[in-house]
Formats: sequence, structure tokens, C-alpha cells
Amino acid sequence: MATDLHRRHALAALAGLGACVLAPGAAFASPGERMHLAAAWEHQGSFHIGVLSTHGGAGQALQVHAALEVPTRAHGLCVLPDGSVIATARRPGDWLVRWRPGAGGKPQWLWQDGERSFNGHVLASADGQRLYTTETDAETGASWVVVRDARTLATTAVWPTHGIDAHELVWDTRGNSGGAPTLIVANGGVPTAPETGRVKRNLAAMDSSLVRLDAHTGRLLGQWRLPDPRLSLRHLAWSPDGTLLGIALQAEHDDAAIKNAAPVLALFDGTALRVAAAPEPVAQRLRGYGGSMAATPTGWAVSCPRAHSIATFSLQGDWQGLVPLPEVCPLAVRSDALWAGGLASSLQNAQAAAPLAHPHGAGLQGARLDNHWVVLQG
Amino acid sequence: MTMRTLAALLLALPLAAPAQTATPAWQRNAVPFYDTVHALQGIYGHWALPRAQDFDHSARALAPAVAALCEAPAAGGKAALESARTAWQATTRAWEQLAAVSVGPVIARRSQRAIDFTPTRPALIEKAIAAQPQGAKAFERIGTPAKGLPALEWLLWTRPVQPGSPACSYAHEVAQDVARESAALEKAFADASGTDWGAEDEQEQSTQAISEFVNQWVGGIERLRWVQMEKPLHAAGSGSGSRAPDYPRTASGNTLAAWAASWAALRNVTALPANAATPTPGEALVPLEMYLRGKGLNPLADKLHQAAGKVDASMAQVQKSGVQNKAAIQQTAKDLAALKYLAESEVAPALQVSIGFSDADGD
Repeated sequence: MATDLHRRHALAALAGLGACVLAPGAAFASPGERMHLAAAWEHQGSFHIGVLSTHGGAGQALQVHAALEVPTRAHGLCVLPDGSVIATARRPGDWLVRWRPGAGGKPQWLWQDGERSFNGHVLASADGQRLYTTETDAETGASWVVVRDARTLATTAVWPTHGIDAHELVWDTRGNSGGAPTLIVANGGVPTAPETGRVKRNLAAMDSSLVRLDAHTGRLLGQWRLPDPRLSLRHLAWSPDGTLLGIALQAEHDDAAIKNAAPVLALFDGTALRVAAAPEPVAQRLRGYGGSMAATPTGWAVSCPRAHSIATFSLQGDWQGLVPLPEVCPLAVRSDALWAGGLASSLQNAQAAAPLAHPHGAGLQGARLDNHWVVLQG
Repeated sequence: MTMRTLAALLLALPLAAPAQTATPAWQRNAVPFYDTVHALQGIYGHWALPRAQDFDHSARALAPAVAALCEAPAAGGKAALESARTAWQATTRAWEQLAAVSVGPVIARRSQRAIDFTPTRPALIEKAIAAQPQGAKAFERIGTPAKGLPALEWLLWTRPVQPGSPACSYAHEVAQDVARESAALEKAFADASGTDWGAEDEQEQSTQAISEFVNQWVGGIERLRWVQMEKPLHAAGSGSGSRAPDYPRTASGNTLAAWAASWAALRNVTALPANAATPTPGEALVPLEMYLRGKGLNPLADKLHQAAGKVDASMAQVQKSGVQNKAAIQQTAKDLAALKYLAESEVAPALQVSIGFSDADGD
């Protein structure tokens, strides 16, 4: 039982990083120990994925440890048990890459042929043998979870997400399907036209939902929606005990005032979906945009880059406060501590009264970090 | 405009030809202040509408050309096929000139998806040939990968249709479907160009329209750079397992012409050719370079002009050396990337436009 709990905790926490499942038994860092993060960033018009590193403790620079230039902006990342980093292009994306940082081998690329586009997120099975990507059908606009062989990257199954604009997906290991893990997918619900990039159209027809899919067959096991159809459910993270799923929201209201004051966090307990709102006047500062999300025993964290702050909530969803960090976006959790990436520096223990700042090293000067980080274990 | 004419135009009119000595009109005469209304009048009335009209004109000639092929006697089949191909090329070039910056009706109607879906699906084309759909209503049930200009390219080049064959009948239906779309676009742009962008109740629409234009301009640069040029190169791979890059319009041998058409249209809205007159507000297209100059942002306008000039030069090299010259193609892609970066990082903020395409827009 203790092993199961540890495993569940590790799976939930790792899935909550917006990335993928790694083998359990992850090492936990002590202060001063080296920290490695898989990341994506833009630098003067060029796009990269790579590994960033620093040491625990204030003032330690966050450096580029390894990097791979990618052709367009990357978004979600995933790290497999063998250390491979998987990354996909931001929607409407046409590439996926598997890369071994520092191994010297050639990256393995997968190019979409125009039938579907990647929506920016990839998840791995616990054994690292299969990949699950959210994708959009170029002709119909419908979203799919595409199951791929992690070695060959070949498609083995295609399942509908019963929505459009599917974004992040995570495992639910709580056994809601006869004891087997299920997939939870956030259908962002924003209608776009892949042929014209990211143009949002007919927002009145938005339909965002959270769906639970059977992880073996893709069968729909449940679907939930928020009352406000203009809130797009996008990024997912489990609470440390794996009982609550936090969802970072992005508002798409026509009215700027409503949009700016819209909630950025929703919570899902397995049966119901509800928003957790920040109080006025703080809510208006969040600009209705949650870029990434994470959870620690201290509570939920939603990065709000347009507000240059991290919005923090208790695990019950009560407002805690704002943590300032210019252009903050990627979040990660290690040893129950929140790490957050900003424009010129990043924070360790971001939820603490006195977070520790890590200035960005030379390779990251002027770089803009993309939404997600994944902690590399070991 | 034929492929050769376009390529020649591109080679002959670089923005930043080193030997050029003529002083641009904007340096001799005061540049007027252009507002959003002038910009939109230029984009819709003097850039998009003539292109939509050209496209419709060409597309209306395409259907009879394909019909003539279908009705040709055996002896005249070859000449009729050439005529149909020429009509396809003219239509496709006109479409590429319009679609390079997809604004207004092109987005609203999802015209790119409707008539330029790639890759075309031969298996679906075969199925559609067997179904023999006739008329607009029946054609709605045909999937986009089996219709539009790429499908017609397949029917005219990859597996050329024979006179009197069911495949030729289907090709004729595809051509008529393209013509229906061109007519709808021409009408929609004619309506849009009559918009009183300055009217009080149009202000929100004007703001959205200029934002859409800037976003689609950036998107068009990126589409040319990545989707049309660099991605096919990457995806083709290198070494023993490599294959020929799947560039656009490869089947018809029109890749260079397609790139030239797209860049010509993008360049048109980006920078003013050195020999062109300063646009009169409300009466001509105001290229972004001139829009910036009108706002007194000459250093940024100069940078934009130079960035476009670099693409001119590298694209001319591609046109000269052909699709086999990977280095030239990569250089053009690099110059397009630099132009896109300038557009996103400096031009759009100067115009107070939020870039939805941009890398600053999260996900």
C-alpha cells in the first residue's frame, strides 16, 4: 500500500507538471543540489528545446545545459524513462521530435502530412512505450488523441476527444475505469482554422470541456463543462494527493473587462467541475489568462504572464495571493517546492514568503521561456 | 499573370538593388499621415479586391478550358490539355496572390480549406470520380482533400484526364467548384471594399480588421517560410533515406512560380518599390513601410524595407537557381524568418496590434 501511495503520488505530481509520466522512484533534491528542467524557449526569432540547469539556492544562474533548435515554436514536453525528451510544436503544429540531450545522436523527427496538426501536448505511458498526443483534424476541426509507438512514432490508434481544440492531457491513476488508469483531456473548445494559423473564429460557438477516456480503447467515460462557455480549459495538474485536478483557464470573452476579470483556475474532483475565483480587484489584474499550472502541498499555482505574476490558491481553491515575476510562465515542482520561470530570472520556492531568485545565464539572456517545464529526475 | 512573367517581375524589381540610384518618392515628397481607415481602404479596395477580381476572372476561364478538354476529339486532346493546364496555372497564381495575406472573406469562408487543401488525396479523388457528383449541392458532400486546385493539379498532371472520361467530368466539376468560390470571394471583397471604415459604428470592426491584417501578414510570411519552403526540405530528410522535398505545386512544376506569387503579394503590402509614387490616402494601398513613415517611424520603416529587400534578393536567387538549390532556399527561409521576427517584435507593437500568431501569444 505504501508503495502504491508513493507511486500514485509520484504519478500525480509528475503528470501535474504538464508533461508526462516517468518511472517512479524519482530522486528528490536537497538545497544546493543540481536542478535540471526540460524546457522550450524563443531567442531572437529562433526556437529551441533543451535542458536548463541550476543549483538550489539564491543567486545561482539558470543556464542552458543542452539545446536543440526546432523549426517553429515548441510547447509541451515530455521526458521518457531513458532520458529522451519529446516535444511537439505549438498548435497548429506539424512536427514532433524525440531527442536525447547530450547523447550525440540525431533527433528523431515526425512531420505531419497535413491531415492533422499537433495541438502542442504529448503524454507518455508509464513504461514509456507509448505516446499520446492531442491533435486536430485539418478538414473537420475535430480533436483527437493519437496513440503512437514511442520508438517508431508511428500511429497505433486514433480516438476522438469529443470536442475541439484539445490541449493538455494527463493520466488519472485513481482507477475510475475498473481500476485501470484513464486519460483526462482538456478540450480547449476555441474554434480555429488550421489553414490560417491561430485565427480564432466564431467564439460564440466555443465548447470547452474536460473528458475522461478509457486508456485502452479511447471510449468516452465522462464529459464535464463549466457554466461559462467562454472559459477555455487548457492546462492540467493534480493536487499532491492526487484527488483534485487543477485546470488553468484562458478567457475568450468579447468584452475586455469581463475577459480581464475572468477566473484562471478551475477544480475537478472526479465528479464536478467548478471555478476558483480570485477576489476583486485582484481578479482584474490576472487578465483572464492562465499559462501553466502546478500544485504543491502549499496550494495551487497558476502562472499569469500577462499579469507578470503567479496566482496562488489553497488546495481547497481559496485565494492566497500574487507572486510577482515578470513574464512568468513555466512552472514545475520539485521536493514540494514550486519553481517558476520568468523573463530575466526564475524563482525557487515561489510560494514561500521569500522566494529564491535564479538569474538567467548568458544563454538565456533575452530568451522567452515557453509555457512548460518538466523536472528531470535523477 | 503567367509563371514566367511573375518570376521575371521578381527578378527585375528588387526593392534594394545595389545599383539603383533613383530617389524614392517618399524622400522627395512629404509623406502624409495614414490612419487605420486609409490602411483598410488600401488593403480591401486596392489590394484584395483587384486580386479577388483577377482570381475570379481566371477561375471563370478555367472551367470552360477543362470542359473543352473533356469534349476534345482524340487528335486535339494534347492541345486541350495544355490549354487546361495554362488556365489552371493562371487561376492558381491569382489565388496565391490573394491568399498570401488571407483577410476578411478568405478567412470567413475558409477558402484555403475549400479550394487549396493539401495534400490532396488520390484515393478520395478516385472515389469521387466514381461517384460523379454534379452541381454545387452534390459537391458539398465531397471532402476537401479531393477537390480544389491541388486535386485539379493531380487530374491535369499526375494522372492527366482523358477526353470523354469520367475523370474528366469530375475535373470539370472541380473547376466549376473553384469558380463558385472565386465568384463568392469576388462579391464578398466587393462588398467589403465598400465598407465605411471610418463610420462610428464600424470602429470596432476597423480595429479588428487591421489587427487581422497584420496577423495574417505575419502568418503569410511564416507560411511561405516554413510550410512552403523549409518544412518540405526538413521532412524530405538527408542522406540515404531522403526523398524529394514535397514543395507546393510540385506535380505541375510550378513550385517556383507559387513561391514567387506568394512573395510578390506579401512584398506588395510590406514595402513600397523604389519607383512607386507615395500612396495617396484612401486612394491606394498603403504598404506597411509607408504606414510607418506616415507615423514618423522612419528608422523602423527603413529596417522593414531592408528586411524585405533581403528576401527579394534571396528569392531572386532561388528563382534563378531552381528548387534543387537547397542553400538558396534555406537562405530565403532565413531572410523570411528575419522579416517575421521584425514584424512581430517591432512592427506590430508600433502599430499597437497584438499578434495572435506571435510567439508572445501563449497557448
